[in-house]
Amino acid sequence: MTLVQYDVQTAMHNLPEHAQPSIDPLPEPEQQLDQFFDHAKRHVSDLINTTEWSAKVHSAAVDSSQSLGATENEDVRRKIKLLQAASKLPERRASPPKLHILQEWEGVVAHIGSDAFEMTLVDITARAKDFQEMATVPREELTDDEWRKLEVGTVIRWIIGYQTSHRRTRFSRLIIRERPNWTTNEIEWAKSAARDAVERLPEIEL
Amino acid sequence: MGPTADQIELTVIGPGFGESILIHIGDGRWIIVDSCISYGTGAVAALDYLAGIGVNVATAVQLIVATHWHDDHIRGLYNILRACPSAEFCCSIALGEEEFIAQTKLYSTGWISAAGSGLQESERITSFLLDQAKSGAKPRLRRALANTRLFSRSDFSHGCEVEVTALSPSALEVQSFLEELRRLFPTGRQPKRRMPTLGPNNGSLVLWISIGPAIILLGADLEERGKAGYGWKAILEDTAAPTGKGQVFKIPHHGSASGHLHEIWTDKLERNPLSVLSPYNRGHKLPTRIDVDRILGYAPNSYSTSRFESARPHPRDRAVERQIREMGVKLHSVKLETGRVTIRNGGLSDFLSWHPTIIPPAQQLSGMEA
Repeated sequence: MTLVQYDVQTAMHNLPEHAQPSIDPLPEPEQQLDQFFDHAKRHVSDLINTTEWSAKVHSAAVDSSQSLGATENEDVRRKIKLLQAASKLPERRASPPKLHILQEWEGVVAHIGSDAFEMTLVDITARAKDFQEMATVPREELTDDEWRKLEVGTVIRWIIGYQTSHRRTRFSRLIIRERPNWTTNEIEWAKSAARDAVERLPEIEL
Repeated sequence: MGPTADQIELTVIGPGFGESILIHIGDGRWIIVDSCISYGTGAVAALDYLAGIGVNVATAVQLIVATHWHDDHIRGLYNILRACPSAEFCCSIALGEEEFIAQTKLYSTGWISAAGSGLQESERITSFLLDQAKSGAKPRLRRALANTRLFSRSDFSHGCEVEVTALSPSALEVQSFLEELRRLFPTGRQPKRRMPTLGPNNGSLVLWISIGPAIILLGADLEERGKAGYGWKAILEDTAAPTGKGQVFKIPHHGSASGHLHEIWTDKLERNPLSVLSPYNRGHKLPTRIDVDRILGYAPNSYSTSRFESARPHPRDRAVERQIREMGVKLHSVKLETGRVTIRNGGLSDFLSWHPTIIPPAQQLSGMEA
């Protein structure tokens, strides 16, 4: 599975059941892909509202746009399908609140205490590639269910911004990026690749 | 300007994303230990430094060492391996074992986080070495255990034999590291996540570099566990370890108390050795004030590659700052500016006289506030 396929699967997993798109490749010619993708992204950002799923869709869109540089066409088509499906969700309101993202991080949980957890942060807004900050977050920022899911290494998207409907309000959202389990195939492949590597990796004779 | 042919140099660069050490062993030949990426430029610090003093790394670098797998020590090492085809590559014996390679392979099967899986550099290095093997290239890998001789040559114009020996990991450290890896290997019912950092830094590779009478001890991230056969104690107990005392010391594990053992200072180092550390700022800060005082008690002439204060985070929208405050989130920068400490001897005329040069924000440890 390629990195992009993995992204798409994860993003789809994050959508509510009724919004799961079919993932047949789109018939559009290659030269229209970028245009479609931009269109789909615009629709998704129009849709963002206070519900949890829409923030997750936004995260998926951001991931998509970040990894598009090195994609295969089929994967790009799948992403477009995903984003278009999201833009047609029946939950769309007549005049949905607009979300203006001011700041976005991706965090990796480094330590879990009794009343707070620590995560190292990559500043997505600043297009950073490495951890440059660390946050200690009080437990009450997560629901009990979310807190139970935390493990060292869990990935969290943290978004701060404004949402506007009748009036403008500031918001912060911590979204646990739920990853699928390791599959038996992946585990067996890794073990077999390791056995093979140990056999084939030549060492300097002493 | 680079060192003269007969001058020995130790340069410690840090703490960008990690730390990196370069040693000029004579006649324009170099060893690179670990790697770091400079904050800000994103450049591989070791390659940048050598290019800056006019070194052709393709032929000049003889040996590349990864002291352990943590990404704060090997980020950029894959680029170094590619850029230095003449160099042999050495790592702990544990990193060539099936348990470790299986982890690196597994974590390469999907996107984990914006900062990678925590194992991507190790995976790239393994794949690169395998590709080279497939193409029939000369083997470059040497896996080390305590007392493995990594380099031994005497064809230098300074007339001294150059020997690089691993003082660790001990067999027990390797066993413990592999057991921990087996315990961490996913069963299939666990969600994907970033690889957690294993601790203590078992499997870390301490290096003893002797160039005639000049001895440099590089402490890597080895920690003391207070148990026979493990950590620094294992090195002291090892009767086969090289003899002599170092004049220059790269202080282990960012100067932490867990990296300290009194007898290393008394039995393996000259009195008041010239010492260097690279600070750490992720989660907790190292060294602490207590650590600094302790180190200065052994080595008044000690240096840090950076100040201990975090670099200022770039300014953010006031609404973001307000939101963070209202949530009660404590946010701090883990960035420390990258600095450099270079220590050179006096060449053939004064082989055991060492002279430090510091490139800010590197500083003398005695003048610093932890």
